[in-house]
Parts: sequence; C-alpha cells; structure tokens
Amino acid sequence: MAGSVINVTIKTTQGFLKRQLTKVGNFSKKQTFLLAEATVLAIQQTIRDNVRRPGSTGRLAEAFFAEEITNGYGVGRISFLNQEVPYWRHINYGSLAINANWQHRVPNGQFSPGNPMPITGEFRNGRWQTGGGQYSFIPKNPIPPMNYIEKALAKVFAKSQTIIRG
Amino acid sequence: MSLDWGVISNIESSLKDFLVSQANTDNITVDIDVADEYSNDWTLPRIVIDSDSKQKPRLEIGTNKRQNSYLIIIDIHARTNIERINLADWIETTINDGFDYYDYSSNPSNRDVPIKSQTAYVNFDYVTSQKVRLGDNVNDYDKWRYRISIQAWISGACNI
Repeated sequence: MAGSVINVTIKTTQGFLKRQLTKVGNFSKKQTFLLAEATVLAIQQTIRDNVRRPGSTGRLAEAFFAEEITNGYGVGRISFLNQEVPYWRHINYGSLAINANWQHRVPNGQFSPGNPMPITGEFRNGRWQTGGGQYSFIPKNPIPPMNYIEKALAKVFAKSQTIIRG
Repeated sequence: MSLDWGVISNIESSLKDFLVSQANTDNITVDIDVADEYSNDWTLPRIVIDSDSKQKPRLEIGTNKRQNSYLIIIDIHARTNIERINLADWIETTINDGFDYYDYSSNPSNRDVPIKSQTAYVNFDYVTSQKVRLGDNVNDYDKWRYRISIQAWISGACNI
C-alpha cells in the first residue's frame, strides 16, 4: 500500500465537530479535577502523617488546594504558598538550614507541650513557640526532608487509573 | 533473612554503583552517596541517593501478590547553576534505560566491600525533576540543588 492515498469522507450533522470538541473538553476538565482533588487529599494526608511534633497548626496542609487554571485544574499555587507558608520548600526538600547562617539563636520562646526548656530529651516532645518564653538555643541538626510532594505524587500516580475511571 | 541488606538498600546501592561506574566511564568528577541526612564534611558536587517510601497495591483482586514500587530521591548538590542542570541531565540520560539490580550480602573478609550478584533489573518512571530553590540566603550545600525523584520497580525476579 506504499504510496496509496485513501480519502475518507464522513457525513455528520451540522455542528458535530464543535459538539464533540466541547464533550472532550468537558471530559478532560472533569478528569483533571478528579486528579487534582486526589492530589490535594494525598498531599494533606502525607503532611499530617509526617508531622513530627505535637501541636501542628495544620497551615501547611491547608495551603494546598485545587483550583481552576487555564487548561484544567492545578494544586499548590506557588505565590500563595510563598506568602502563607514560606517554609513549604524547606519542609519538603530539607535543608542544612533556613538561611546560610543556620547556627544562629532561635528567637526567645519555649517548647510546648511538655518541658518548656530546650533540653535534648525534650526536643521531640514539644513544638517551639515564640513570644512569651524565656529560652533560646542554637539548633544543631539540619531540617530533614519530608518529601511530601513526591510521596503524594507517587500515591496519585499509583491510583491514577482508578481515579480517572472515577 | 539478612537484616544487613534488603530490597530497598539493594536498590539504593545498585543505583549508586551504576552511577559511580558510569561517572568513571564518562570522566565525570562527582561524589555519589547513599544518605538520608547532611554531613558537614561533604565536598561538592555531590549526588545523594535516598529511598523514601514504597507503594504496595495488590497485583490483582484475590491475590496477596503485590505490585511493589519504590520512591527514590536523587538530590544533586552542585557548585553552580550550570553544574546542577548538567549533572541532572547526565543522570537522566544515564539511567534512562534502567539499571541492574544487585543482591548484596556482607563480606566477612572485607566489610567495606559487600558481595553482590546481579539478579534482576530496575525500571522506573519519573515523578519529578526540577531545581530546588530555597531562596537566596542559603548554605553552599543548598545553593545549587536539583532533585530528581523516580518511582522504581524491579523486573526479572520473583518475590521482590
């Protein structure tokens, strides 16, 4: 059949192509919405599962939501994250410190709940609360990566066929 | 069952060995580690491999066989922007066809060099591949970072 040309003519009702394109567009939008919603749930759950200290405000998890964008739906608007939870990158990727001079004194505060003093045995029991406390310390350990973005994406990828089937 | 080596540590070390070998072949000077935390004596550039988590959905309804996959994080800590994107490109090109999976075991005569035998193959899909921007005022280790994350699975062997 090399070099042959086959012309195919399909007769349809008026506006068929436009209607089909609209259908495909709506279908695609619905699927990206389902994936976005699943991604939000996965990110929020992953963050909550990996919180290391008691007393989490939940702000980081709540900062991820699905919203409509030009070609469908997206999750995690960078400008919003940067403004509301500027530490979102450090928590995900880990870092030797926030800022280059990381071995600096943290602002006065206290650990809560538990013993308010910054002693080694209490470091995993409370969350550092600034304002009102009289203690300070110089952190010795880097921020470990939580990898919540990658974890969540891996979960969604593994379930994507089920999610899309809806 | 040995507790010294398991599937996850085998994947990490298999990937490390593969990249070290390819770096030698391609004449690329870079340190390659398996680690889950920073060390104060790092020299740059450095590639750090760490497994994060695994997915274990059932292979099919009615069976306890699992379709295991492993999230592997590859962090590049470079000295310049060009170096980080070129190292990322080199890694992606190098591992594109997957890599050999080795079963490792302790070597009583030389603890630093485990015994290994190739038993399967590691395939993967990319999860993410992007620069890590932690801001302007960051430590040298974090200044020019790049992260590649892959979802890996093992083929050519049973019960893994």
